[in-house]
Amino acid sequence: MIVTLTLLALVSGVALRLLLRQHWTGEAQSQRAALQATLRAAVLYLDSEIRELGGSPGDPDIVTFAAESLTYRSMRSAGTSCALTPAALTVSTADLYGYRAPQPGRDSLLLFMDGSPTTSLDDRWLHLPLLSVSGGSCGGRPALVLATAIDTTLTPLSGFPFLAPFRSFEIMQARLYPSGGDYWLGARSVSGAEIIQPLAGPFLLHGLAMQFLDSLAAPAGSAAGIRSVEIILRGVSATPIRTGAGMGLPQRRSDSLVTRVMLRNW
Amino acid sequence: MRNRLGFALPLVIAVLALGGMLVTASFLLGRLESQSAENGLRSARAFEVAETGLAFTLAHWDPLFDTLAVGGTGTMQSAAVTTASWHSTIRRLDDDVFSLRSEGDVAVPGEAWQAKRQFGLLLRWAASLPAAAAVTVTDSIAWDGAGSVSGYSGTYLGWPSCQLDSVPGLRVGPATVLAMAGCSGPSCLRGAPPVLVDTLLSGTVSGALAPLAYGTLATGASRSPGGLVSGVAPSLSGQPPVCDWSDPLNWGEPNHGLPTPPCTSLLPVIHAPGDLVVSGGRGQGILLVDGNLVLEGGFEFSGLVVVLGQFSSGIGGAHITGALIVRSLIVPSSQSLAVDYSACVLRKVLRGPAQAIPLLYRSWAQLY
Repeated sequence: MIVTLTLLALVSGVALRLLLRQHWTGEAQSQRAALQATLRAAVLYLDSEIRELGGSPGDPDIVTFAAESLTYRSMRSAGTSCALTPAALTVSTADLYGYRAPQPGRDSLLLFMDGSPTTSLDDRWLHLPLLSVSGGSCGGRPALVLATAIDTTLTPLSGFPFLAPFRSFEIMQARLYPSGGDYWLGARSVSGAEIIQPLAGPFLLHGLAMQFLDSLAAPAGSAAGIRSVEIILRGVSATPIRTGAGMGLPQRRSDSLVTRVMLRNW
Repeated sequence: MRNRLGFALPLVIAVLALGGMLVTASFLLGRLESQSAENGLRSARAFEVAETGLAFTLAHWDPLFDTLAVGGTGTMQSAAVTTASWHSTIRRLDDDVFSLRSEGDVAVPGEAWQAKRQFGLLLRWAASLPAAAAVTVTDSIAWDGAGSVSGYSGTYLGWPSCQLDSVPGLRVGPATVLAMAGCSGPSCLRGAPPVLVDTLLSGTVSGALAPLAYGTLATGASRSPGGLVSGVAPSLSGQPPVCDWSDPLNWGEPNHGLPTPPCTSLLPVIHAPGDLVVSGGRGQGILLVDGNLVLEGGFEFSGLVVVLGQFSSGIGGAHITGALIVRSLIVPSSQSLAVDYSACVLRKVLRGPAQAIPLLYRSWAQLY
């Protein structure tokens, strides 16, 4: 009987230890996967948002920038108008590409002005308000009518291409912010007066470090000089995990990811 | 021996079941990670493939895109459809502005879904015009005959983007020798001003052609005539007949109109490496002559004529719509020459050797 109980205790102990190790290993693996997914999601978001930025020397898309915060014009849709009047541009839905439909009060418009056809030096994108959105048609095809206000004394309609390219954008902010004892990457619509919402996390203190570089890869002095952004992300696991051969004390593990995004629209 | 129920077997089964569940969970987690990484990889490939479509279409610009009507579209696609392919669509938005959309597709063998990415690029012509004047002469002019020079740009049926420009009729350098006995009054020489002495005009035709480069224009030549050439005219071939772009004597149709005649979209660069005499006929495009040029027999040409040597008008004279840039100009007393400046004609013919380039600002877009 004693032998049996001893053997049972031994077998149970080994089995329990094995199960615990497997549990810890599984949990560690799960946390690592979640941490890497967090880093991937954050970098994908920032990469996608920053890549399309640009502008012109007097009119950059980046509004303010700091190591842990970026405020910028986020492009929400692009297309070409089939009809242009001082009060509205009509856009065929077939020619409208976007993350979402333009929203008055939240979005603004950029309309391309060709100016003189003999030179590209006078090309520019005209800022316009988006006053309302309604249904319309482009030669029988469904369309959106984007109400705006073009001052034709300053910008005569003859300066726009026949099928004028336009974009809609909203001012967005992406930053690292503390919440619940951790740091999170969050985003909010500034033009939509939203409060910040978490996108990915948790991150370490200073877990987001953006460096804004000019064309010589030196730190840029102004928004108009930024040509690329180096992003360093340092994430941390949501819960403590045991790792290593001895499965020591549980700790929160961290991982990092570095990338550089070129601004495509300069 | 008593038959007692043991607990070893249930314990082992329970442990094995628990272990199996943990291993399965671990395996599923790993598989999920692997698939997530694979999706990211495919998405990145589709991104690069779509970018390739943009770059390829720009680098291999089809001249037929220039013949698109406003709102018209043209397409291009990757040569071989493999697991990764792209197709691009060019759309003309105006005379000078185009939109380019490229979609990259990455297929997964054995699976129904594909990874797709789509990007857009706004383009415009990078055509530059030389300094505006109907006639530019760097060395000397001896105009004893009849004719006219007009710096007032007119509108021409079928030629796009014509604006009523006013440029100098005659542009000369400070050292240019002027002998305008046959063409000095407003009935012959018109422009704003009729004669401009350009202190910046260098003594070479190449300098007068700036910002265009003679050598660069000549590399795009599709015709290299020499000696006496007669019978220059639009020609057709095939059934149904279409413009014969391969005919060396077909220099396009300068008389655009409605309905549009054949060969109006043919805008060749014609480069004569030596002397050239063109007798009668008509054409359009860019005519570059390394030696001397004689136009006669009422030859009509729409476009840019650049002569590194001497230009002279022969029996029957000639008519140029566009601009003429020469080292020296001779119109003998019994001959005539008419030159009418046209910015829209110049812009059109210079598109041939010009490149479509992305807009200076905000040309690239992610299309969802």
